[in-house]
Amino acid sequence: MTLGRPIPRYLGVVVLLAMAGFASVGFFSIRRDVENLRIISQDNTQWSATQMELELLRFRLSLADLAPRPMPETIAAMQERFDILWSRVFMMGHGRLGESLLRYDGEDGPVAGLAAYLQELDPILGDLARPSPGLAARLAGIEERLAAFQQELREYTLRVIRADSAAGDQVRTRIQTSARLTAVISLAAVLLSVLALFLILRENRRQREIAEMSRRSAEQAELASRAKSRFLSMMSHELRNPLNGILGPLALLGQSELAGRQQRLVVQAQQSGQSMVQMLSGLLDYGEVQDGRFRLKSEPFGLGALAAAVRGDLRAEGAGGATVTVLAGAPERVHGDLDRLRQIFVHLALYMVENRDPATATLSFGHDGTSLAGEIAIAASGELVDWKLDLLMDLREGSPDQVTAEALRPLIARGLIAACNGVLSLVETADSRRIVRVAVPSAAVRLELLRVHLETRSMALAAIYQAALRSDRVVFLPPESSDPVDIVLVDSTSVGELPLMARLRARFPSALFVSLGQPQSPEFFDDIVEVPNDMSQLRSSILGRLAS
Amino acid sequence: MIPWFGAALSALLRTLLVACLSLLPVGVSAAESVLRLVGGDGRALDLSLQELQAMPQTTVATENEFSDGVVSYRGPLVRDVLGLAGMERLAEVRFVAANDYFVDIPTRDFSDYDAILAMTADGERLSRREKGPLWLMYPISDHAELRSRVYLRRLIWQVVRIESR
Repeated sequence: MTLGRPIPRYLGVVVLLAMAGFASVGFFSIRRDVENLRIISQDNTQWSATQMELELLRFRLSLADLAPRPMPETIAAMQERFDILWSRVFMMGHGRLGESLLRYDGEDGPVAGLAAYLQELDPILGDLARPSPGLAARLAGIEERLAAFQQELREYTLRVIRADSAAGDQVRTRIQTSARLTAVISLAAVLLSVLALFLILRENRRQREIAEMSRRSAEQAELASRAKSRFLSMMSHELRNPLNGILGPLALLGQSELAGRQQRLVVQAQQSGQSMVQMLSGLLDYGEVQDGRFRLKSEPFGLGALAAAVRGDLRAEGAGGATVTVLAGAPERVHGDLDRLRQIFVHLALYMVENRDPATATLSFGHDGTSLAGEIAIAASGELVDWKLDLLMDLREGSPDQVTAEALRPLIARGLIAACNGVLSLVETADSRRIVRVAVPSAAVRLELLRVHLETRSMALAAIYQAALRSDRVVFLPPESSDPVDIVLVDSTSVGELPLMARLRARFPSALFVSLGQPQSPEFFDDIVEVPNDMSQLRSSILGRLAS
Repeated sequence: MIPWFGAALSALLRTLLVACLSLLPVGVSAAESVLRLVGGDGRALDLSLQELQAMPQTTVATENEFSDGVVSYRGPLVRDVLGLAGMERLAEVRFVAANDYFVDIPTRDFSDYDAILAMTADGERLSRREKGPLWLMYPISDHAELRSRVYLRRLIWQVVRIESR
């Protein structure tokens, strides 16, 4: 499968920047040309130039009217025309329009010349209104000068018209260029977009292929891992049967009369067998954790029972010298998976006391209100202890390099701790002791008295059940007692159910009904203990009510 | 009334009048008619600078194509002037300049914008040589839409007559 070469990210940034640059150039170019077009379209230079020419002609006509009849009206008209011409000529250089007019006129143009001549005429304008001998000649001289300006203004106007036209052509050409540039930019943008789309699609396909490959690899790895775990579990299971076949006869052999040396050999063989059973049980659980089949139980148990179980296992493993205690103030019973907790602490304790006098180790169990806390302390120091603790704490799940002979017990313990949502930590101490702490979430059992009514016709069974469930917190009430009852145990194998159950339900409306044996009408019961002669199940079922 | 007080007041008023008249452009007397309004019925109303000056004055600070930078123009609102002859109700009026140039303007302009008949620029009386004595001025700097060729042509100066269309 070819995945193609990955596209560098900077290429996308370069493409985006290029497109933004093209767009900016096009935008500003068009905006500039549109603004120029607007300014040119507003320009009134042609009109102003023509008006100037026209007003000069009108002034000349008013002067011509003045010569034959210097009347007040003609004098006023001449004065008015002069002022109007003045206002036109002296627009030059003022405002944007005046700037344009000045640009076309140049430094010594006709408009500047006319302005100078008007300033020359202004002080003598009053003299022209008074009849005098040389007036006609003066007016003729003025007319001659003004006629010359008229011709120059004509040329100026033509120059303005042509220049305006040229400027318009220039702007139109620029707009055409801008339009072409815009078209090219748009085409480039489209091409770049298509290219970007193609690259994105290709990258997307590549990513999908990589994801698919990763998924398949993960599935294969998962399948391989599960197969190995399953194989491990099955092998552990299968090995336990012959082991039991060895341990059973060994136990019988140990009870027979043997010489001291043979007895010691039997004990040694038993210890090795127990150790193998421990390891196989741990491996079985570890395999279940690994392939996801691990199911944690949550049942009430006593901390004393946990301590006793750990103590027994350690003794069976030859580490009976270790001290196992329950801290004062700890709740008597807690919720949890007794078997798994026992395995955790046994594996950790055996790991810690390996090649060491077990008497140096102390296990203590307590409860901090939310978690069961067990601490394993050993009175030892040195490089070997520190190395073992480092190995224990640094173990990482799934690191094949760490699966060594020394790490088997820590691996099993840590796997079970993680499965129990527990935390493993080292406790800092001021002395030379090394303490490993395991905290597993666990609620304390609310201890109450459980009042039981037993319904059976068999006195023998009644005695057996009472003996099996005997406890400080379980009280069997007499049949005729009117005290409230928490659990009604019904021996479904020896009583007729229908009328009896109706009567019992009416008598104990709030009690929990448990059938001992498979009932004919299961709907009457809240719980069923199918095999009533399995006392451990019965005890577990009944004592479990204490926690609920 | 005390005789000397009356004489002093009279002298003060005369001084103020002379001072006012001295502000008027050369060649145009304050009482002389400078603007003729010709209503729809053909009746004419002549207005002098004095009369126009007596009307409420409005200042328009704006740029235009014919002046450098922002100039403060001041004069009566066109709608008020038209109102003197009842011409504000017309749809369109014609402004005529001294050189016979004219432009037809919808009266809606004068309700939409505070256009004035400017009589002074930056406090100086507008003479005929400075496009006065009356220059129609729009507040161009306050309204972007007025920066167009249409309104540029409506900035008629040396206005002498406003007549109905």
